[in-house]
Amino acid sequence: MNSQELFNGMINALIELDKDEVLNLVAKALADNVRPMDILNGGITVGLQQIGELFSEGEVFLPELLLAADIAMGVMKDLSDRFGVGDQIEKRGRCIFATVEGDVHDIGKSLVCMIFSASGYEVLDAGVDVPSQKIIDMIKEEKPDVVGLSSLLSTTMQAQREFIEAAKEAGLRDSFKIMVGGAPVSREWAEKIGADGYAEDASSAVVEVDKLLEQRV
Amino acid sequence: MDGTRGILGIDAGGTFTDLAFLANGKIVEARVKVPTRHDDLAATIGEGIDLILREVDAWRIGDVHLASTLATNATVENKTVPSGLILIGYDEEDIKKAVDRNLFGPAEVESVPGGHDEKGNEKEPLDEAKVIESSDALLEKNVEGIAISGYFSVRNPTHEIRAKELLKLRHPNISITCGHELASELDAFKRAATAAINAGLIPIIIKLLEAVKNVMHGLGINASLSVVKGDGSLVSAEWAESHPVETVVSGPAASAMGARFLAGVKKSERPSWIVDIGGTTTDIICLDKHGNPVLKNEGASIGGHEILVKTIDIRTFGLGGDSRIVRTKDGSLKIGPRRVIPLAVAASEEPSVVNMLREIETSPSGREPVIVFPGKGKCSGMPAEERIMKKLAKGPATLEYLAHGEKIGVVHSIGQIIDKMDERGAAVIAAFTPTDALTVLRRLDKWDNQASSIGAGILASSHANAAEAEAFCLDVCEAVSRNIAWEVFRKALCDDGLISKNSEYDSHLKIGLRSRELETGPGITLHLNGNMIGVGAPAWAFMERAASMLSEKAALPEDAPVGGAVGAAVGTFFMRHVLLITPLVKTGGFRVHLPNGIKDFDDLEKAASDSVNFMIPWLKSMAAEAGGTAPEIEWTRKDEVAIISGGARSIHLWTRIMFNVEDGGA
Repeated sequence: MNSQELFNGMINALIELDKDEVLNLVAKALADNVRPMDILNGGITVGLQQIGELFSEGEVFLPELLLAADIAMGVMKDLSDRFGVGDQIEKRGRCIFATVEGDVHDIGKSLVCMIFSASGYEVLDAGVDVPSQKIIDMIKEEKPDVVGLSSLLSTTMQAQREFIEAAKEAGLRDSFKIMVGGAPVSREWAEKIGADGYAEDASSAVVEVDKLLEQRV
Repeated sequence: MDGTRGILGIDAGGTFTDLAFLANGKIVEARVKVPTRHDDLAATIGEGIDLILREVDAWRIGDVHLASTLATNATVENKTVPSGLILIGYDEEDIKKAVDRNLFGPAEVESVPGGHDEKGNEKEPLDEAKVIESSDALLEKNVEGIAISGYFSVRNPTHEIRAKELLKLRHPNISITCGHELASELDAFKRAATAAINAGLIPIIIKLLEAVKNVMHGLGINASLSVVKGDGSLVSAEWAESHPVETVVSGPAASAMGARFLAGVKKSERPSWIVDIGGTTTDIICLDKHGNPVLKNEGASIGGHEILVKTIDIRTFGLGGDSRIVRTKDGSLKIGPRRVIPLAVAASEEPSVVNMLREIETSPSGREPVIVFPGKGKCSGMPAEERIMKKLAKGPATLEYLAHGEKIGVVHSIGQIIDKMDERGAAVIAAFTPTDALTVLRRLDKWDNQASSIGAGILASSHANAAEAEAFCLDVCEAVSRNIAWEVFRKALCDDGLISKNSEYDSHLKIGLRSRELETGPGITLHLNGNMIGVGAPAWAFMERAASMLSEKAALPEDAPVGGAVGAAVGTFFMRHVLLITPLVKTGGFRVHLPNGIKDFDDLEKAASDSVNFMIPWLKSMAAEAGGTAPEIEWTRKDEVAIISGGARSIHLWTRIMFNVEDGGA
């Protein structure tokens, strides 16, 4: 098998949630002297993106997506431990994700964290019920490229608007891109409060952030 | 000459100070232009008034309206006087970083606990003892004015207001500026910098205005003095003395309003697009249908200082009569952004230019008509540059001559080396420009057209005859007009929010602009809904065509050279204020962010009507302070909502009440 065939195999195995087959193909690729970085970029990340798209289309469900992300993270960690790939990979960007103040919903935000990690982003999870000021302090410390805010309730959505105002007042607004998401959130809302991006789910969030960071360069 | 009184408009600009006297239905009766003396603006103004008084009796001058670059220049040149800045509720680390970045210029900074959050709630109580202590410490450092800026003071200004009260009692003779009085936008650091610059400008503007009043008095003029602000409105001298930072970019604002007036545009018609074509750059300013400049809220960058006051929205791009024209590798023409000496001008000063151009014309490697003159700037120390400067010391030369005897690397990059030297002033480039194209076509006959014609021939093709060179010059004029039309149309689309600044629709627009010259065009006609008004020396040559590309006619007003002074004279008082109402999610209800603090309501309608009732007398007293004699107030309300939950519901973001105060007495 050439390396592209190995990658295709990994993508299919990941979609089928066949962890053993994924690991088997990764081992084969390593034995064939395929570079660990290429395994991640050509196989694992692509597979995860595809299953993310299937999730968006309603073809697979949340537990399956989580399982795939878990397998991908496992491979990534393994390659990283054994080959120091983690240091070699040029991270696609640094992100802070938080669920806004007054809102304790964790699953959506954690899923986004996971998919972003698995897609090659450096992810900082600020947790749930996070006040704007705490995120601002974190931004000063961590200098992220992207800040993603989740809110699951129409009553806590206003905190997204207030965070953007706090970032403007702190003079930090232009130093990063702001993504907003959550069940009630819409693109219209995102545009009106002055966010840079919006996505309906975790994998389209990756696509949106990719686009935002491309514009930046 | 009859006996009516009139208005004297003065525009004290960077190079010239223009004066115009308008009376009898605002007819320009007298106008003069004198060179500006930066060390003594008042004396310059006195000189100008003296000349006006040769044509107009002193008693006829009833009002004097002044636009000046004083605030802009003092800010750019860091000539503001030492001021103190008290920051309330700012993070100490952030203050340190801002001071390190020189964000507050020469201001001495003190920090006081207090401030608010994004909702307008108090973050920490104001430490009043520390306010007093800080002000004493600042005065010991001999500051001449104090600025106060509170965190989120635009959502709740009570700490700034209280600190100002305390300082007034403690130091009654010192000027005090509050951030929320100048800016309504979020950005605590820019607001603080704006307040600090304002405090540092106050003694300077007071000095100027007092000197101008003395000059007027000395010349027997008994008139009230008003000042033009950067948003184009006119305010009393007293208001300007406490808000000098608001007068930055008043010059371009006055010019735009002057151009519109001189073009005879009536009120309440359509917007006006003022295109000011200079030697190096072109400015586009849009005036709304009332004739007031379109403003931008995000402030202006003046000499590296970010100033958060409302100013006119001005778009400047590198295209002018003296823009360098080059042929790019793909054969298309590139005009600007670099300014050079037109070949016609160079040849009139240095006759050998014509012969050098002939050499380029016959040289096999000559593709660009460029003559290099020695400059006054210093050499970078690069050996090749030293040799070039030695050659230039003998007089102007061609690129080929300068490259002669150099290594192959220098020969290939000679153009780039000369460009860099030109940037530093170590060399001066003469090249083909739109001015040359006009000279070849004999539309401009200030200079001999020989040098320009040879230049056109070289750029047109290697063996162009006279007819081909002329055709090339027509192409150049068409391209200049098209670039102007394109920039105006693009700005119109951007302003309407239809395209973003870096949008990809540019190629479609360019096709649209060309459709009339192509026989089988794509059938697109662009139509700008607005008056196009051209000012600046080369406007007559390009504006008519630029306007026709947008299905408009261009107005080219007479007296445009003193447009700034005319604009100052016809300026009137106006004021805009936006009131914000935000929803309170946790407790329910609505919060009004008033100019004196916050007020909460259960009901939005009640919140809106009570705020209007509060704001009208408040705005009237502000207007009276600012020089409005009979202010009339109009307001509109906008409730911003967004559809959420997949279209199932909508959510209220905020309500804005926009107040427009105009002077009914004017």
